[in-house]
Amino acid sequence: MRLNLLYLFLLIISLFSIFIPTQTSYILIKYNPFNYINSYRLSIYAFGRDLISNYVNLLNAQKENALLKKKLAYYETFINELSKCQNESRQLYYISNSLSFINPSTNPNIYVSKVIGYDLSGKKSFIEIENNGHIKEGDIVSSNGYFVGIVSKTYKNTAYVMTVYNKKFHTLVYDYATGDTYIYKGGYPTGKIINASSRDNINVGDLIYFRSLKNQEIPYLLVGKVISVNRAKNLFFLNVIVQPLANPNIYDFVVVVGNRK
Amino acid sequence: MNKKYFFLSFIVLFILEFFLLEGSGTYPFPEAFLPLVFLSIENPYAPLKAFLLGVLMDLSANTFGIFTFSYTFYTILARFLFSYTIDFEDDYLKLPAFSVFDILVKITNVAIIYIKYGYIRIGFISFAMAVLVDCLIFLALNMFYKK
Repeated sequence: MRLNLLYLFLLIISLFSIFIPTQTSYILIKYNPFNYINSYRLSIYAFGRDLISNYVNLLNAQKENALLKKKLAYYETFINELSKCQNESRQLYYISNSLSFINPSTNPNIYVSKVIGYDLSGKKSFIEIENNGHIKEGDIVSSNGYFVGIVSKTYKNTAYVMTVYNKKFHTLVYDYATGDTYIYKGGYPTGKIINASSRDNINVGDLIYFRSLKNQEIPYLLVGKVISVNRAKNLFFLNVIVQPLANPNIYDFVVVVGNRK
Repeated sequence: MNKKYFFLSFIVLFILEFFLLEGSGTYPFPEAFLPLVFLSIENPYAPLKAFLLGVLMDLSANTFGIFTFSYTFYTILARFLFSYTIDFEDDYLKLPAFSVFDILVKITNVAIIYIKYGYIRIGFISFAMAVLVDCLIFLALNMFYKK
């Protein structure tokens, strides 16, 4: 009897519950009771899918990263090798440039010598080169077609080269534009021409070449460029400043041109 | 029926019901709680369980009253019928009886929704699939309870 009453009670309640109004307008448009469950489920699916795809992407990225690291290490070594080759080729270019200025028919003594020491003061006043036993004092040193200096002292295995930046350096030079010959005095960072008179037609931008009176067959190596000419009224000599073009600190090899015997 | 099994089954079905078994917009979704109700029909308080599960379904589906009524009504009806006519221990009769029970519940639900809202999307195939899935769940649960 009790159970029957319970059943009746449940039935009545459930029957009445049918008539409880819900969101009719929403349902009339599209009745889909599991809409929000669907969306919830889809979001969980999407979460799972994203999780898996992210994990797979992460693994791929890790593999790719390892591969790229290997490649990077390879390329770094490759770049180092390449820069070495570049430097060597540059040095060869300098040497070949110097050699091209020398007339081979004159049959000079030419040695390619390795630079083993630089001026640590930074004033580029000297370099030390390897002596092969044939280099003598007074030999001309050149690189890249520029006049670097003159061998001032030789030892058993080394030779000391006084460069165009050295204050004690003096030599004869030749103005390419006018053909006049002058005395060049070295200096850092600029050298000067000391005996240009006020009548001489020397101008800014003139190229100054090296010239030896003893040996006319030696090529006209480029010493520098006139960067300033000071024409003071009461001075007989002009104050001509020359910028040397050789840079001894960047040369690994130099060409030594010796006197022919 | 063991209470432990009932709660375990309830949790499993609840998860299935919410995340896996519902249809895609058309009405007849598998009502996974039905096998649970049907298996515990020998229990005198089965209609109360059915009522509560119906309320749960209604709340989850935002269709207040529909599942509650059909579950409760058909559980009471089944209890009366089985108590007079069929020996429920006969295994081979369980599944057809459940199928009829399931189809009746679903048709009632469709009818009430149509009466209440005047609109319902229904497809024969999805309906059949829903019944099939319910039957499969019923078989699985039956085997589970036997053990």
